[in-house]
Amino acid sequence: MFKFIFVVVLILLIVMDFMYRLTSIVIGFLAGFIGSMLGVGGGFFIVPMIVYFLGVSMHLAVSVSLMCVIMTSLSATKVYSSKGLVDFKLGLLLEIFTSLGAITGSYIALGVEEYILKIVFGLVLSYAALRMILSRTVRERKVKLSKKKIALGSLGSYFAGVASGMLGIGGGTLKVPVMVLLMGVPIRTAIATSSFMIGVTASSAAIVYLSSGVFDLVIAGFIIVGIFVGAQIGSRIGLGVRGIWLRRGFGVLLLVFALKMLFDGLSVIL
Amino acid sequence: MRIGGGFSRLYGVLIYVSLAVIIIGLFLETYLGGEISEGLMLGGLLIMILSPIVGVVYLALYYLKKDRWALLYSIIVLVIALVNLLYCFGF
Repeated sequence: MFKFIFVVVLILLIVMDFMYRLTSIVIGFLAGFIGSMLGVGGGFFIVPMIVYFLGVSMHLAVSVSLMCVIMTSLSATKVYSSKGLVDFKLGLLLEIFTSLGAITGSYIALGVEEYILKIVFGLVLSYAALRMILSRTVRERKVKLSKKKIALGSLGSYFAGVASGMLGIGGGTLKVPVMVLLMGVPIRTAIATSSFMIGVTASSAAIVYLSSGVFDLVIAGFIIVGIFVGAQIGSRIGLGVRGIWLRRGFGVLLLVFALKMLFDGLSVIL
Repeated sequence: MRIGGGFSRLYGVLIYVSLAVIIIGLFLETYLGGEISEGLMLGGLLIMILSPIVGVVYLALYYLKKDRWALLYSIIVLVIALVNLLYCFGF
């Protein structure tokens, strides 16, 4: 009888472990697919998913997410750069400010309580979700970058970097609107350039977490495998699809996660 | 060769190398466990994390004689990354 129970428990543990790993791969696939299609890192998707489905702490989720965002960036940039869509010079200029912001943000995150991170993440995620739901197709147009536009873009990029390091996101949800709305960069170029930038930004922030010992190799490994496959498919589909309804539908999903996280964070204070 | 073509190939190589090392590490972790698997996974992650920096080095070399402003931007990004790396690992 005892042997039978032991075997049943062992089988259950293996199955549970299998589900845990399968869940990691599926989360990675969805994050890579959606992130590369929209020019974002997918961190805003990975963080709430692994917090709620894998039950890890917020700090660990942010760290794992940053490592995963790099894979999304590498895969998407590989495809976009081969099509000549990435504006490397603009990306490098804005990246100076974003990298500084990312390093600042990761040190802020390591020093604050988890519920504060949840509230800030919930607010940023709500903004990203509403922007996705309410966004309209922006007309492609070529504009010359004035000094004022570059200054505005640099400032916006710094804050995108702070959000990236603090919240484990690539910052693409903020970088794309900064480039499109403040600098007048065409949407496709903005998405491709943002894909390149988020890798460099997340790399700076991930090094801070790696050196602090806040990471999980197994979760990160399985999610990265899923991301690679998802990003390869997503970036190819993203080249030919307008995807406004996908954007809006995904925005609604994000809003649900954002509100859940916001209420979780606020419930500690109230 | 256009910058995008060479850059895309470089990223392709870095992605596949890091992914291969991570997958071997995960395989060993699942069936054997131990320090070797952890070392492989960490190695793969490090290759992946440093890949964007390698990409910026490639861009700096590409812009060396072509565009001095782009070269300056890439050098500043590299200096920030290097200072961060050295600071984080206690040098």
